[in-house]
Amino acid sequence: MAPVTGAFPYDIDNLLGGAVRVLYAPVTATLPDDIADVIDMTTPYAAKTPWVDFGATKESFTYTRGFDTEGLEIQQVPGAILEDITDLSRTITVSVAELRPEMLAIVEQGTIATDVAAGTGSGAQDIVKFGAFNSITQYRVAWVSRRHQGSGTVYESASLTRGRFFMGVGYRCQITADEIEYEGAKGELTGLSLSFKLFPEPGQVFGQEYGLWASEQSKSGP
Amino acid sequence: MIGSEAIVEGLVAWVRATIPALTDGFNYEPTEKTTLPDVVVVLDTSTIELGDSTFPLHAIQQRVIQRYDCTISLMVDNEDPGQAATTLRSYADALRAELLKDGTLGQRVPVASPFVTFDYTPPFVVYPDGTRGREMTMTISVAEYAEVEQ
Repeated sequence: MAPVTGAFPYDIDNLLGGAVRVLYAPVTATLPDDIADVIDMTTPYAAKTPWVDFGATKESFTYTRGFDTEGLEIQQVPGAILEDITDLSRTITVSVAELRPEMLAIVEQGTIATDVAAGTGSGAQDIVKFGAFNSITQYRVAWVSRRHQGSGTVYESASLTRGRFFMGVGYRCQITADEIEYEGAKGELTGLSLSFKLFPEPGQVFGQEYGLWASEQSKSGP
Repeated sequence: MIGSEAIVEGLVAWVRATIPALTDGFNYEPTEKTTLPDVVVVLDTSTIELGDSTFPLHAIQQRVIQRYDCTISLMVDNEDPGQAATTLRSYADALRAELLKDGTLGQRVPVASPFVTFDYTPPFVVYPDGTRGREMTMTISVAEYAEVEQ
């Protein structure tokens, strides 16, 4: 769709909203170059090996980028005349609603132990053991959205046209020191707000080492 | 999605399984009745929502909720008003107990809200065919997940 011109121009092709699909992979996974390296681009959009879905999330997904600066001042003028960047941080937060063993192992930096076998009148049990930890496991994390079809479509087949995918990837993410609260309340879904801090991928070019954004373009008929 | 028809059919089957004394069941509002007691299930409204207080445990980011608001009408013979009132109260107790025990209504629906209302207000009902009976209604909301392809 062409941009709307005038005194206040805009282009709805660039709009994005809605829920996010979040996936993770070990840092031994090949660094993704685009969306197709993380999920199939055609229905049912299965995760590519070794990517795993976080699944249901309770609250919104957030990505945050921030940096600190320190101003350089001179005597002759008030205020800073230059700024140095002294810190850079990127974080993501996932509100985990699926309390699976893999999720709990990430939250606790724990270990998935041997299942307890089913007994008479009781099912088998998944066990995750946790304790002290000195280092934190890193993961690749991807978050995939799909744009509204009013913002352009992708022709998959004669029976399926969909909105364009939009993805962000953090190459190396590890859980932050933020507290995680497990709250079981009457009439409320339990969600664990899990925050990750992004770290640079060794061997990448300076300025491109933290991750990438990928935006699929429209594609018409076969 | 299992859809509207399956939801209504599931509710009729659930009520009849919970109250074996019912001799008839309808998934629509009939214009005449042949035998009592019976159950009538009517789909009042069907809406899509993000997730509200009725289904808080199912409000996840990845899906919206397709919600079905239904009215279940149970009618008994009103020849003996006292017996009719007692019977309807026992029906309500049985349905409430089953609902609180199993929110899938015996795997007949994805999820039923436990927040139901039983209404004994109508003293009696007369159908066009002359059928007279004492009625009690139960309003219930059933939901299933729906994916939005915007």
